[in-house]
Amino acid sequence: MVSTVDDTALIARAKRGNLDAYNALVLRHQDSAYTLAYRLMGDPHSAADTVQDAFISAWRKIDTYRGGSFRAWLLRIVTNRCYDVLRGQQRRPTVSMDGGRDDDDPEPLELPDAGETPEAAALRRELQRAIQQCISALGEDQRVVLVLSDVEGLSYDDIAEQTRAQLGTVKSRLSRARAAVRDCLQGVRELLPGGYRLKEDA
Amino acid sequence: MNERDLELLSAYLDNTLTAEARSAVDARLLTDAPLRRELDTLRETKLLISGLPQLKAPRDFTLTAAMVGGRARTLPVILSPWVSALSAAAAVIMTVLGVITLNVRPSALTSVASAPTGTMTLQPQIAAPGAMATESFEVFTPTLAVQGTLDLPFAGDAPPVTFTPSPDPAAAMIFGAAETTVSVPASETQAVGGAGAAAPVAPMATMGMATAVMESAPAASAEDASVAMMPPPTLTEDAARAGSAMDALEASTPMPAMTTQAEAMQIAAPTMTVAAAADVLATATALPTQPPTATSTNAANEDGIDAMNGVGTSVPEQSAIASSTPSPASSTESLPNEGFGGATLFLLAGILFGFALLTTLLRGRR
Repeated sequence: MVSTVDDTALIARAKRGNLDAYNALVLRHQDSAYTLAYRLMGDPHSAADTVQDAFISAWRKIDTYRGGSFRAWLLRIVTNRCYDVLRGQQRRPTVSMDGGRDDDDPEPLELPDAGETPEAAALRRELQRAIQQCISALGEDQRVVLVLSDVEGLSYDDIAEQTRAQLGTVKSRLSRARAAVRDCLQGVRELLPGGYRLKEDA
Repeated sequence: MNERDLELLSAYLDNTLTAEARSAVDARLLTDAPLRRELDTLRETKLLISGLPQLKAPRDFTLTAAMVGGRARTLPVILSPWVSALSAAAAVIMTVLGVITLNVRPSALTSVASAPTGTMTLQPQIAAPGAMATESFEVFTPTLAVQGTLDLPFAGDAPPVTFTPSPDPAAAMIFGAAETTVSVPASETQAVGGAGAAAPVAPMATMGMATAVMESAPAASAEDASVAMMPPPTLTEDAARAGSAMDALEASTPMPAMTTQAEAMQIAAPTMTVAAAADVLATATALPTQPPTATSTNAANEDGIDAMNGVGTSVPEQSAIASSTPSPASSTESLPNEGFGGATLFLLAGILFGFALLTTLLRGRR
């Protein structure tokens, strides 16, 4: 609530042309924006470039912000920018199902998790990388819906609005995306935590 | 697993099913082990995905003035919705004023006619010998604007009327097909030999497709003039149907003897005649006076010339004019050219509308 109030004050100043106020908003939301972009793009470089473009675009469009969640408004711009980039570039396979990764891509930085052993941290990162690869293997439409739903926690209605799709289409894409990721993860079941039926059924 | 069951289970996980649909799925899950396993694996998948951590941005994405074009949002002031709204409102006002300006001509003439200086009054007075009356006037047509000075022939060594044609697209735009305005600016006139006031002239005549509007408010000092007063003429207004022009004519009560005919233009005739191409606006009986001899050197536009000849004819009939020094307070100067004014207003309205539209579009793009 406090954050929302502060956002409102900063937005009001940013609308009056105060770039410092807008940059305060950038600092506040840049991790969320980058996370979304990375989940959608699957590539840290592209994600960073897209997020930078999105923040510039948001600055130029800030007069169109009409209240509500600034984060949701901002993530919508990020999503649209990612959509544009994904559609603009030639589809290229970003996933090799053998679990390999592009060593040129730097490891995305995570927020620190204190008390975790190095081995556990390494295993967790490997699982996360596998999940990301499975997500990146999805088609663009399914990927966007899956990330907005299961990563960002948006409702069906919000996803339909952001992706300009029908509600039924969103439900269909989401169910198929989950099933596809599930099937994809069968290939890395050794990484799955114990107790997962997903592992047992494999 | 078919698509429908997959969607049902996915919606079940998100708790977006209706109570009835959820109960139906619950009932199936009790007896359908594959369906139950499918649900469990989908739930685990969702947990794995939602368990992905939030990443830290590899760098700050703060903007600099250079990144945003170094203009730190000076443009939004111009693109403010208020600017667009005010521009649109001003455009509407300009449009309304333009319409009023164009439609108010007859009433404007009426009001001028009733003004103390008096217009639209054609006094059948004869100027004293040597008196000089000078009338300057303009004629606007869609293709021709005639401007000139008419020195009345009876007023001593009067030169012939000269006209300077010049196209006036603004007037053409406003007046549409063809409308001719003849305006005779005022010279200060005082009637001598009685309490009779000076006699401005403001006849209006519709000339076929063209409307000749002659606004005249001459006021010439006639200190030494001996004026032969003519009986007050009566205005025959059987052309009251002529609309706005007649409104003006009606306002000028003592109208001079004046016959307007569509068929003939008889300048030299004792009866003053204003010829119009088609419509006859007013008919009045003209009293014989000195035949006017004003001539025009411009024959480019017959309608315009006709109108001017009409002016030239009518002016002597109200010739209680001794001196023709134009007064700064001459009524013609105070009378705006409605056509030009209307065109200007419409032009401004168009510009303002365009500006409002442009700012709205630019704001939308940003």
